[in-house]
Amino acid sequence: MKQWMNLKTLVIIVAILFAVAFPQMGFKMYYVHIGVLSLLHILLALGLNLVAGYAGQLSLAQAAFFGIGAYVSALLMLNLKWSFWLAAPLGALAAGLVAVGIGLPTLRLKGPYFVISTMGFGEIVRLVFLNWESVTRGPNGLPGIPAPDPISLGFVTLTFESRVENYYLILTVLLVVLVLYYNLVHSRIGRALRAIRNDYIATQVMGIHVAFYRILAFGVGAALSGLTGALYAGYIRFISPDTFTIGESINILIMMVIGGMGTISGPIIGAIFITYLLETMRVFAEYRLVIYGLLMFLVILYMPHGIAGMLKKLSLRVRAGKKEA
Amino acid sequence: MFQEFVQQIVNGLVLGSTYALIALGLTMIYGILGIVNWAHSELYMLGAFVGVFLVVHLKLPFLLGLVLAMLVMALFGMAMDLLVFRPLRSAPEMNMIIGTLGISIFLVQAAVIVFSPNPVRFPTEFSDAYLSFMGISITLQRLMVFCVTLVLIALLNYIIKYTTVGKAMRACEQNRDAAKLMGIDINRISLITCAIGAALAAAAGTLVGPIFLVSPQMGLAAISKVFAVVILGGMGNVPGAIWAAFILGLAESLTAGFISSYYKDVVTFCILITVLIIKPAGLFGRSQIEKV
Amino acid sequence: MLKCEQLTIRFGGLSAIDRLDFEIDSGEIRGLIGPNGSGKTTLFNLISGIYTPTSGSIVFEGKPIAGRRPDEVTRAGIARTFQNIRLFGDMTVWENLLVGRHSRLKQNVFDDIFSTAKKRREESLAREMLENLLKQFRMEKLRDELAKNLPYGLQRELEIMRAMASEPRLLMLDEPAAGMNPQETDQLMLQIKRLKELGFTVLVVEHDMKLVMNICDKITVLNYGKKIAEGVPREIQAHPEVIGAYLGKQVKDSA
Repeated sequence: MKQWMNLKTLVIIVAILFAVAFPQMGFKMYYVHIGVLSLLHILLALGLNLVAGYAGQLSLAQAAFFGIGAYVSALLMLNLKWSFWLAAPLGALAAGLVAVGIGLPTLRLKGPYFVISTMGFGEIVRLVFLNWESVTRGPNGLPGIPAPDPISLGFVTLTFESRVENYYLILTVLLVVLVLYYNLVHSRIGRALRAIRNDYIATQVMGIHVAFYRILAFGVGAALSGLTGALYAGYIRFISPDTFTIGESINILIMMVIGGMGTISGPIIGAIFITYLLETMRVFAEYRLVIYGLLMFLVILYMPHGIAGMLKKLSLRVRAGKKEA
Repeated sequence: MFQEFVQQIVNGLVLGSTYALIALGLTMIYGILGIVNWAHSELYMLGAFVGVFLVVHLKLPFLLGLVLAMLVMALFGMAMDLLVFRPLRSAPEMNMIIGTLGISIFLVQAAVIVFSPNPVRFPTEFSDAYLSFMGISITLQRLMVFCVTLVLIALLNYIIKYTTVGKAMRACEQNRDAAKLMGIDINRISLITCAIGAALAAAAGTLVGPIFLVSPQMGLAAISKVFAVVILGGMGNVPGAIWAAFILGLAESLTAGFISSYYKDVVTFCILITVLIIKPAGLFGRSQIEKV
Repeated sequence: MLKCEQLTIRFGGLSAIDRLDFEIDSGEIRGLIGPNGSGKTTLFNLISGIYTPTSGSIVFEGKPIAGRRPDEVTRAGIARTFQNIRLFGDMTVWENLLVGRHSRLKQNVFDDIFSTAKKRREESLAREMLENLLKQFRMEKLRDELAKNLPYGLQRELEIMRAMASEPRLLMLDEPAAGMNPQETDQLMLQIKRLKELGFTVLVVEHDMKLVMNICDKITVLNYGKKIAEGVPREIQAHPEVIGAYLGKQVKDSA
């Protein structure tokens, strides 16, 4: 057990060091951009993972929450001249509250009912972005979103204009999120969610209010996506309905499934892996999706905990092998 | 006004027929195999492409093409049962949905590569024939969609109610384990169910392909509606799915005709969500008490 | 302690439980027997809140609980096991127990997310209690085993432990000896008797007559959702209606 923990700690430290050093390693700016997109996708995949991986309810509305966070924060910055630091949490809050509103009637429904409701909701949100032109400017989108305001720390002032600066901002947010996410998953909340996925009737009899925990997971997952939306808006400076489609929800799903549902490292691995492929294999776009589709089927069938689950199994086997030797 | 109204009713019946034919297979596969098949509307899309090939390229008469397309897709459905459903049978429901969603993405993109992403026209000998009545003209193709759908529904009803296979299917729907103990070959029944479901979806594709256009995305556009139909009808409930299909088809085309086509998709989901809140088992579903 | 009055539930036209009056005293072990389909498990589902009664009342320690949600009933102090074991298969033995303890942990959502001192204190109290439970059942070694990998008999025991983790005052066991061999059943009998010494009130549904007759203080007999007899084991064994309806020779043999 001890050795395993040490190995895990080592991997985490190396991963963090690499993530911090990445923009300084002399890659082209294009790769820093892919780095930022990977970080954003990690946040989105973590959000979905809370609902699907832990609570066992598949949501296809994650891109809609991503969009709500982006639009709410962008509109607050553009129209009311709010600071990013105020608008971003509000964007997250808005997405979370909308999810609670949607979750109340639909989350007591089983499997396909909930999936279809989230899919329909996602479509409605996209139609609103597209057709409410007086506010969202419809298909033209919202240009000229300001970057996050500089922060003065007395001796140094942090700005968030460049790619590298945004990279560090989003990495910082991600690390804080990961600590809280770890706490959540390893607390009684995480246990309750996994119990619900296993057997919700037995879970109720344990004194656990199933609907409350489902809505909590859905709401927190949506708020996380909303926060990501605000970070995205502050980075790209332009948003339009094209980004927040069901296709994006499915991308997020692919990342989570291939990386590994119901684990923390899974969404991280999956998001980096798929984002890299998405960006570098644009030429083969058609073939890429054929492969992803098939891959998703095979992974869910033969390794339901994805790459992360496979790595864990491997390291356990290596450890067992060592013991015998 | 009256003509417009009748026109929209006709459109609604065509739409309802499409939904009914696709939804029947979906609801049967759920009821009998216990599989939530997210890739089901891709059978409708592929059926339409097979129809185009047979009728437009091989120049077969439309009705012959329709029957052949159904046969081809029935074989495809059986392959799907063997390769996709059977391995997924004991997986948790969410994994089934994710797995079949993966298959759906695979089939759509494979169709894009094979047939190109651009919509294809599907003219038939009935496309230009009109039937005029009281100043209302309807293409024969539209009329045929509705009539053929009724015939297929009647046929399905006969199979389910009066044949040995149909009785075995109903037994599996009631209780798969007990059916197995009674000596019913579950694997055979699920193959037949998938063949019938795929053939019905293919019929929908070939019938409405000539009215709309045929494209790799046509299945994606239909899947959420078809699921809405199945849920409103009560998952696994065959007559419920038929009624719900026509109700949604009519609601959608009347909204498109008299309010705005922007809202026609919204209407479906508003109906769905409202019904789910009031009657979670669907309009025609028996509310089931979970065995504990 | 628990009192049902005129309790009725109908499915369709059928009364699964029909105007049942039923009372359990604090500290007793009560047996619930009857032929298959006589409504025993339905009664469990009514008391634990999984079904809502059509009419009638259920009062637990002076509080009405009929129609409350299952989680509210558990928090009120009733825990149960299931006839067809319902453990959290993909979780370890230890995690199953922690979930069982859930309703007694006092931290809120913020304590959990920010891992506050309160959360850590609550969790360490829970750990202490559950370690003792594991020791009592001699299952310390199986702590990190997945529940679904346990042998059948141990799964039944784990379900009882999981129910005990919420420190209920009334413990309802649904056919705890089903599928056990005679040795395991003897072991189980001792454990249920110990539960009584620990101050639990126990309601047990069981087909194994030897177990029921040996450990129960009182037995209630159901048939077609109605109570047909109630009394100490000796009375039940001699009760003509019970013998006629269900037990036959079996009762006398096990005496």
